[in-house]
Amino acid sequence: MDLFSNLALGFSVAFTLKNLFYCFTGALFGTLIGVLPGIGPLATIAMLLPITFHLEPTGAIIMLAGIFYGAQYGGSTTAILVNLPGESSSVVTALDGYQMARQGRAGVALATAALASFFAGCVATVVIAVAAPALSRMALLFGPPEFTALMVMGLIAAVVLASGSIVSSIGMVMVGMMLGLVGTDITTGEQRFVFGIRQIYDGIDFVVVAMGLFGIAEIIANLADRHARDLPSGKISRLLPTRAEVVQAAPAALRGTLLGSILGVLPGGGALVSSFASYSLEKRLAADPSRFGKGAIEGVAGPEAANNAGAQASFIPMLALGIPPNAVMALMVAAMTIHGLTPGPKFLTDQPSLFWGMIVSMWIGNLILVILNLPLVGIWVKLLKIPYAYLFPAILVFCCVGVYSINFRVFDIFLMAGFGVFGYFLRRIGCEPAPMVLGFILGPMVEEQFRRTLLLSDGDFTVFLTRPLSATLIGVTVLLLLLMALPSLRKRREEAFHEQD
Amino acid sequence: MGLQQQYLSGLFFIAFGALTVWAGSGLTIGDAADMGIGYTPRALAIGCIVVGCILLLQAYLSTPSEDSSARFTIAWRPLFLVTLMVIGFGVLLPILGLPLTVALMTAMAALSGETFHWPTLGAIAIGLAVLSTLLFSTALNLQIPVWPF
Repeated sequence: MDLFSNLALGFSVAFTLKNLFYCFTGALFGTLIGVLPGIGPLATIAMLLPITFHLEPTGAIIMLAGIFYGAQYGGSTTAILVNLPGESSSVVTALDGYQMARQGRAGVALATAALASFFAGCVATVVIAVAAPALSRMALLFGPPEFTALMVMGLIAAVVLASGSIVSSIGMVMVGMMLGLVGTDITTGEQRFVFGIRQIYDGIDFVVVAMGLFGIAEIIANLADRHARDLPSGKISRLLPTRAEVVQAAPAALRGTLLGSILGVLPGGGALVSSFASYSLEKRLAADPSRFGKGAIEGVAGPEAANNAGAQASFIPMLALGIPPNAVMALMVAAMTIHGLTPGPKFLTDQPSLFWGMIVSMWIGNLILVILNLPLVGIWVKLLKIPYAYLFPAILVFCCVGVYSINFRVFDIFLMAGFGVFGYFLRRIGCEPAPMVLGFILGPMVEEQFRRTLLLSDGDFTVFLTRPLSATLIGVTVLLLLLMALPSLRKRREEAFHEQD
Repeated sequence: MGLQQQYLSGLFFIAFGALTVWAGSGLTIGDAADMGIGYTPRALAIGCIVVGCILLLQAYLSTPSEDSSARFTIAWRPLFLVTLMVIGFGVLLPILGLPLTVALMTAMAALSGETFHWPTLGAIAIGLAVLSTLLFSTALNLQIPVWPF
């Protein structure tokens, strides 16, 4: 079997002492930063990016993946312990997890989250190993019109599946695309929107944008709006769930994993949608839905499995097509580019050891997380007790040094400050910055493919509709938009995202 | 989204689109078969303006409900402080080097209005200065200025 020889190759890469170490440190640091309230995976990866700079590409990517699921996992810990989801995909975990913690079952909730995530991670790893090569083979059938249509569909899907107003999110995507076009045009070599600023001739650095919008702006918002952080009193005693709890949680975790693996692959999908979908599913299937929101263990197991599976499955379109399905994956693309790697259909065939090494290290990383997190829960609790006045300067130092070390110039620090203010302003007028970040990465790609399509068709726009594959993709996009225009569906969507209120 | 926010976001998109049209006025637009570098930006700018108009229209047509009472506010103090800290870091780093800059920036956190104790904050400033220098300069070997001399 091809799959086994590939996985064997992966194990030989991932099981070197060096790469195990990178995987471990990545997961550790990712959790450490991810546990801090108000810092999601995106900000965590951006902040920790510089510690991977001096590594060789394989080690760096393994470490980045470790940081990613560490951060994802850390967010759940915060959600359960202090009801402050560090990232939007653990919002639903906070609903029942925090209630469990208040009932003195914090240990059980954390263990359930860890084990459900681990199970989902194992399954998702296999899913990636099977689906990614298949998808990248399929991508060979894609021409410029299909790529354009696919990216547009991805952007629209990302908007529909995210929370917030759809119209303003579409606007944010376009603002992001516009900012992504700043700099020297690849095709003609001419410059646009640089305003004579030499430092942005090569474009605005993605990490600067992400760090400003999600690091700095988040700190400002957190300082402005201080929640009373309410840690569960008493020691966390029992970790392992009882037999009855396992019986309740296991099927939920299984369903969550399935949902996450499917939703994660879709453009616009990922951890967020998966966890919301799983929560509503569990609530609907439950014999007594009123238990939800009051500490139902299925409400932790299902969404946690789903968000981990979804987070990992979203690597599939990123690696196989080079098209990031969500903002976090957009940052991963940027990070890989820094290391001279281009994800896309050729990535698998050109860099098999890197690809498979990364897949296997994801599985190892999930294992490390379980081993790491259950005994270290006490440390995370202590970390959460640090007052924000002491915490935020440390986060700022990381952001500043991180941005500075991309090009070793202070200009990037100033630019980050600018994007921080911009991000805070956007938040205040009710616009989500996440679609903007996705637009930023996809903007230049869409333009290039769009331009190529129309060059080949001699300016004929009907080419998008006459080729079956691209016509289908366009059709799905239009359908998505039409569905959202239906008032009843729009209301359902709003309800789904306001579950937490 | 509050009503006031919706008006403001509508205006923001229109302003952004208009700014893009103005800034890109000198770029070649070309036509679909032979696009200039101004083609996509112009299309996006028009898109932004359309989005802005829709938002304004929606805000105008919607009936005010309880939810729409969310007002547009800005927390000036954190906004200024954090921005100042970041810009200060950028200005001071090449002059003072990493540890001194970090210590100074941390001390500025005293202005945040959060409750804190001076001795603890001082200890954290020093600790952070030492740690960040050891991590970024010594361990990771990043080319960051360390000392003012």
